[in-house]
Formats: sequence, structure tokens, C-alpha cells
Amino acid sequence: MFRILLACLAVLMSVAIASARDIVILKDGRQVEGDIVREIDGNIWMIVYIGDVKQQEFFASTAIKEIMRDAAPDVAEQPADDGNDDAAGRGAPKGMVITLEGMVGVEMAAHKLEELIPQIEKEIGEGGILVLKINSGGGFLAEIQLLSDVIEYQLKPKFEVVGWIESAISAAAMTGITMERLYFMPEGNLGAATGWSGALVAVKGRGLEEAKYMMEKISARGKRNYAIMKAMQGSPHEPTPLSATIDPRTGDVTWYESEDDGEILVNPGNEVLTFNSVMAEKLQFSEGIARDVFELTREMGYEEIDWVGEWEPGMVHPISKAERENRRWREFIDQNNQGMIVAANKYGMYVGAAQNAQGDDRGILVGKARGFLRQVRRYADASPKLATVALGIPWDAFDEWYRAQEEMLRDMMD
Amino acid sequence: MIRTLRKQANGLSLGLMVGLAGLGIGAAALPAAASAMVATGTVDGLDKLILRSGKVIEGEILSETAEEVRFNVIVAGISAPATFKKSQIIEIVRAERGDADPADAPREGESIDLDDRFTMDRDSDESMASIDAPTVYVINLKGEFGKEISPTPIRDAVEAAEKESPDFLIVHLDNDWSYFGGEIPDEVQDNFDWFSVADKIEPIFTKEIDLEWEKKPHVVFWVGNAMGGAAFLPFLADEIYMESDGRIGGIGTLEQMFEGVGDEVVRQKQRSLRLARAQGLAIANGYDYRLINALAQRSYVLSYDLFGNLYEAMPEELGRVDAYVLTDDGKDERADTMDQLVRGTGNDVLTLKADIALKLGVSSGTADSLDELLEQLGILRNHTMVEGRSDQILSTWARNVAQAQRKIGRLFRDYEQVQGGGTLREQRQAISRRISILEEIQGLYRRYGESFDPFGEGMGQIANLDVRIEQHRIELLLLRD
Repeated sequence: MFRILLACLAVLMSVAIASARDIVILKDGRQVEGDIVREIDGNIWMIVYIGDVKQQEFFASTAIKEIMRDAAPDVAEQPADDGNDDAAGRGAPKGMVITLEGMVGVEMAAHKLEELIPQIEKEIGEGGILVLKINSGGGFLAEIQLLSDVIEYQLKPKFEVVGWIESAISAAAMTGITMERLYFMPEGNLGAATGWSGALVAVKGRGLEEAKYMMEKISARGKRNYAIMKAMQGSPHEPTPLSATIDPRTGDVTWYESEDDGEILVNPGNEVLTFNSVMAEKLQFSEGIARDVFELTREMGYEEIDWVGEWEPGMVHPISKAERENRRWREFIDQNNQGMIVAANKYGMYVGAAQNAQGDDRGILVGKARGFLRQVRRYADASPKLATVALGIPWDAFDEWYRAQEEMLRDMMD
Repeated sequence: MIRTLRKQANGLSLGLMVGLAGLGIGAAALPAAASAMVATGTVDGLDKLILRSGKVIEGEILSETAEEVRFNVIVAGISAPATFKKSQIIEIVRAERGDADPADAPREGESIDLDDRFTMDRDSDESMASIDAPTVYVINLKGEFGKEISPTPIRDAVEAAEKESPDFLIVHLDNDWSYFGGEIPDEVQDNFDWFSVADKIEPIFTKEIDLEWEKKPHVVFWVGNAMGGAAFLPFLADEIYMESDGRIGGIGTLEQMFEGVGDEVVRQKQRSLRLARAQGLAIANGYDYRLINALAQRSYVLSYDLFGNLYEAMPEELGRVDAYVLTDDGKDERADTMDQLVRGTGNDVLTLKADIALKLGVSSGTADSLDELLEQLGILRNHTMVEGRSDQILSTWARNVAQAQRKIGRLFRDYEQVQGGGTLREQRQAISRRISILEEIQGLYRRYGESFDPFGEGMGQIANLDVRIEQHRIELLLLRD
């Protein structure tokens, strides 16, 4: 009974509509005409007209069989028909996403990126599209040059390299601008590149000048005005204002190291700049905004890219073999990080206990301490910079520290 | 683009009649008068409710009390009953009906039931819903942000919702914003860093639904209190609706964060990256990031016009008479007075309230009951409410967290009271007992640490307990006859 009435009502409605443009055909056979005012994930909100009266209707995507826009199928909704169902991927360039995540110098490391190159080349070939997707809150200044060099001298000559920014803060931002072409995820951000240590103490003196000089050179690699990175670095000694003007005719952006000369105040002098995705795109710092590889394909100007790898739930890009290896290594490093801290803590406890013990007891405790010290060594061998993160020891001084510990344990047994 | 769509949709919803039941209502549900209108297309002879939101609702008054009006909304001959609070209504325009007697007008406390005017059957909403009616699932987020409103139970609650595959996922957010029995003032300075907790909740309502659900629901946040860290959550929604006394705010001011620590340039860096991350959360979900600036920064100036456009300047600087200040720079005479702070009417930092959120297009509407919300979504008379375990999951978590906190206190007392004993065996037993208690406490921290310590997720306490356990192991190692 419901359905009969519905059908009648639908007929009445369609008769009454003189200037309907969109038609929604429902799975139960009903056909409703009106104006689609909102469409989210296939769900439709539509204004239907009955005489002078209009009302809003909601149709769940699951109830909809077909949508006809302006009384004709929307070409955008139709799959491209090239007469060959098998055409997907054929002739399209191959592309791959490699994620650079975690602490710069620890999980986001130049040596690992370098190690992945043969596998990347195997999967997408020379000239393939390599997307470096960055999600990092920063890390070691010392790793920036190493990463930038791998991108500049090893990746760029082989592949079409672009950056895809989820979050690139501090050292990750300083690395990311090596790439000329950056795309942001909608939530993306890049900047806040101020060097610091300890209780929010800024890098000063020679260290600051070295960081500025390094970023002048890396900005040039990415063909970017250094004034932008300067505003992101900030300075403990002077304001770092930034403003810009967009030429309304050409769209070109001119940057000014002042607050007033440009039409758009990008960074007040007393602040530190971090771009969000909207500002980055507006000021042409980025090429566009992409939520997933499909949007990225369009933003990059391709009709199609053959993204290599396997899709997994919750991913916005497929996982290639190179990326899988990258992830496996990163997980291993994460575990090592925790493992090294625990091992180092326990080592310290047993050393302390041994120093207060005598005879056999001391021997037992020193033996335990030695076991934990060796664990620390194994973790450091896997990822040298972990020693700095987990133990606060400069990574190039770890060997010396280790020898000193061994010597101390030997002395305790004398 | 996302923003444009949202604004257009909002503008339309303001201009249109409220959505009514879908097409799927039965013949018995059509009143005779309404049936006639389908044929004639007239809307004469109907009562009108003029709402504060600007909407004009047409139909017939079913009953009326001093507090509310039950109204049979009629559009195009399709009717749907709904209840409107008198506080929502500016004017009731009664249609002239020959048989109406002015003496019948309701007096305070009286109710007139007009249902018997119709021969139709007015059953429950469910009976009226068509087979294809959109399904609605409601999750209630209540309690303290970071404690009861925490990533693990929310993820479990949303997963429970996924099982029901709803078309609409309505999240009713109303966090506790009290302190020692009183209200936490809006201008509380130290709440921005709770973004880190909101950031952990973010993917549950966005990426995990977008990418992992077979059918993505329309996610609606219906906001009572969204204060402190909870202020970031509504920006995860496809659409926001607010209660008439709803609020989003309490996260100012970012600019005071880290004051007195280290160098200014590093403090600025820390503030800059935090603000950009929070802006990203809004941008990713189609909201204007400048609202985050206004919510978080005391010195940030933002104005708006009648069309909901935002301007980073004071109205007088814009030279416009149709622009209004949303937040000023809080300096000198513009600093909020104590009176304004107490009454929550200041404008140094933004607290989004229902009226302004609607004007700005942040909120799609104001609803004080679930029915009102469904009505504004256009599905009041044509939906199926589905129930799952979500609310139970959330309340169980809250109860367990409270119990675990009490238990940890008790376990620490037990730990302190373990007697060392005299014999070697007794000493060994005592140490083992202490280890066992500490491990049990560790287990509770592993399970509920995110609610005890929302920033560190209890990891610091777990590590401290690890050290104490190892010390006991050393004691065991050194026990001798």
C-alpha cells in the first residue's frame, strides 16, 4: 500500500514540476525530480517542487539507483569509455608513495631512503613518479643536509619527485623544501623551523648561522625564495616579517621581508611561520591540495597514474614493496627506541646496585648489567642516532661511551 | 570548495521550509485537507509558526501548552508532527477556521489536543518511515574531556555504530565544563594543548570512517558544551547543529602558552606549529581556519558580515556598516571586563554560541531536542532510529576508569602494607607480593592510562613502576640464607 501511494505521489510530483533539472531514480522504481542542493558521499539532499511549494528531501546513497543531472546523465559520473575495459593503467605513468615519518634522523633517515632506491626503480622505473609523503614533527638538524642530498642528487635525476605534506615541522620542513613541487593534504602544515634544544632554548651563534646558510642553499634547490624559510626559522636576534603580493594578471607572487610592502601579511615579524594548506596554495608555495592519490593525480595534472602497490584499509595510497620495506624498518626502529631506553635504564639500576654490593652479589649484578649494556649496543648498531634520542649521548661519541662502560664494569670486578 | 558547498547548503536551509517526511508515507497518514492540497496545490487555511531562526512553518496546531506547540507540519500535502518550544517561536499565526472559538485558546497550563480533527493514524515515527528510510544512530559524548571523552572508548563506540551501518551518525557532544562545582570560565588560559587529545580522536570520525566503513554516514555533531579540548571535535563533523545554549570555546589563549620558558622565538615556534595543526583539522573538514585563530588567540581580530563572510580587521577598518566584531585584540579599553568574563560575553577570544555559529554558517541549525534536529535534517518523519552498544560502551568506560582509579589507590596502600617477614621464605614472598601488586597497577595504567593521564597516556607512570619492579627483582636476586 505504501508503495502504491508512493508511486502515485511521485507521479503527481513529476507532473507538477515544470522546470525540474535533476532526476533521482530510486531502487524501488520511484523517480523524483528537483534540484540537488547537497551531495555527500552519494547521499542526496534535493529540493522537490509541488506547485509553488518546495520541500527538501533526503535520499540515502543505498536507496539511489541512478542520478540524472539536468535530465541527462552527468558525464562526470560516467566511467570513461574508451572502448577498452582493460585500459586501466595502460600507458599511464607509474607512481609510488614513500612515506617519510617520525623523527628526522631516526625514523626519517637519509640512509634508509637511499637504500630504497633500487627497489623504487624496479617498481616504477626511471622517470616514474615518486611521491615523498612527509609526516614528521622534526628532529636532528644534522640529518637535513643528508636527506636533501639524497633527494637532490639521487632521486631527482631518476624520478619525477614531488612532496606530499601531511605535517612537516622544523627539520622535516627544512628537508621538504628540497622539492620544487609540493602538495598538501587538507590538514597539512609546513614550517616552524626554529632550531632549539633543552628548555626551549634557541640555537644561536655559529649553529644558527650554519642553519641559515644551509637553508639558503636548500631553498635554492627547491627554487624557493629564502625569505619564506627565514620567516619559518625565525631569529632570536631580529624580527623575520614576511608579506606577499599576488599579481592579479599573472598570478605571480612577490615576497617581501617586511610586514607592509606586500598586500598580504604572511608572517608578523615577531612570530614564526607555519603554512596551512590553504595559505600554502594561495601563495603558490604548494601546487595544490590532495586528500588521496586520486586527488593528487588530478592536482598533478595527470589523467591517470598507475599507482603501484596494494591497497589496505585506512590508506589513502597503495603500499608498494619499497614502501612496505620502509614501514617494516620504521617499526623496527620504533621498537628499538623503546627497547634501548628500557635496556639503558635497567643497566643503570644494576650498575648502581653492584656498586653497593660485595663479593658474589657484585658479580651477579655486574653480569646482569653487562647483559643490558650489550642490548644497548645492539640497538645502537641498528640505528646509531637512537643513542642520542634515548640516552642523550651524541651518536658519534657512542663507541667511546660504550668502551668506558665496559672498562668500568671490569674495574668493579677487580 | 568544501567550504562553499557548506555555505550554500546552509544558506538554502535558512531560506527553505523545514524538510519533511520523505515520500514514503502511507495513505492513512494523509489528512483529508492535505490530500486535497496535493491536487490543488494550495496552502491556504494553515496555521503558521514564525521561528526565531527565520523559518516559517505551515501546518496545523495539534496541541499547545504554555511551553510548547505540537504542530502538524504540512508541505505539499505531506504532513509530519513536530514539537516546537515556545522559546523558538516569535509568532503563532492561526488560520481562520469558521468553527474556531476564541474561547478555546489555551490558557497557561492547559493543553488542547486537535488530533481528532483528522481521521489519520498518527503512530510513532518508526511506523511512518518508509522501507528506504534513512537510518539514524546517536552517540552521546558526555563527561570530562580526556577522561570519559577519550580515544579508546570513542573508537569502540564508533565501531559499534559501524555495525549498524547508519545513514546519519549523530554525535551529541556535551562535555563537563565544571570545576569544584562551578563553571570553568571561558577565558581559562591553558586549554589549547588539549588539542593533542582531540587530535587522537580526529581520525576516528574522519579517516577511519571515510576509508574503512563500507557506507559512509553523514556525521552530524550536535553541540551542547564543546569547551576546552572538546572545542575541536565539532570541526570533525560534516555538519554542526547546536543547542540554543550550546558553546564551542574555552581554548584561549594560545599566546600565553610557555610564557616564561626559554627564548621567545622558540615559544613562537611551539605556538605556530600547534595553531597550524589545529587549523588543519578545521580545513580538512571544510571549516574556515580563521575561526580556530579567533578561538585560540587573544590578539586576533576577526569580523563578520550578514552573509557570514569573515574579515581579519575591525569593522571600522573595513569601512563597512554591515560588519560586526567577532573578536577584538583585547588591548587597553578593548580588554574584556570582569563583568563580561563572568557572563561569558567577552570578545577577546571567541566562544561560538548558537546564534553566531548559525550566522557564520558554522552551524546548520539550532535544535534543543533530537526531534528538532531530525526535523532540521529533513528526516523527522522518515527515518529509522537504530540502537547499538555505543552509549553502553562509553558509560562502561567511565565507570571502569573511576573504579580503576579507586583500585590503584587501594593497591598502593596494600603495597605499602606488605610485611617484610622474618624468614628468607617470608621475605621472598613479601617481595614477590610487592612485584605482583605493582604489575597489577601497571596493567590498569596500560588499560586506562589515557584517561588518567591524557597527555602521556600513563607511559611515564608505567616506566616508573618498571623501575620499582626491577628494584624488587634486584632485592630478590640478593636474598641469601
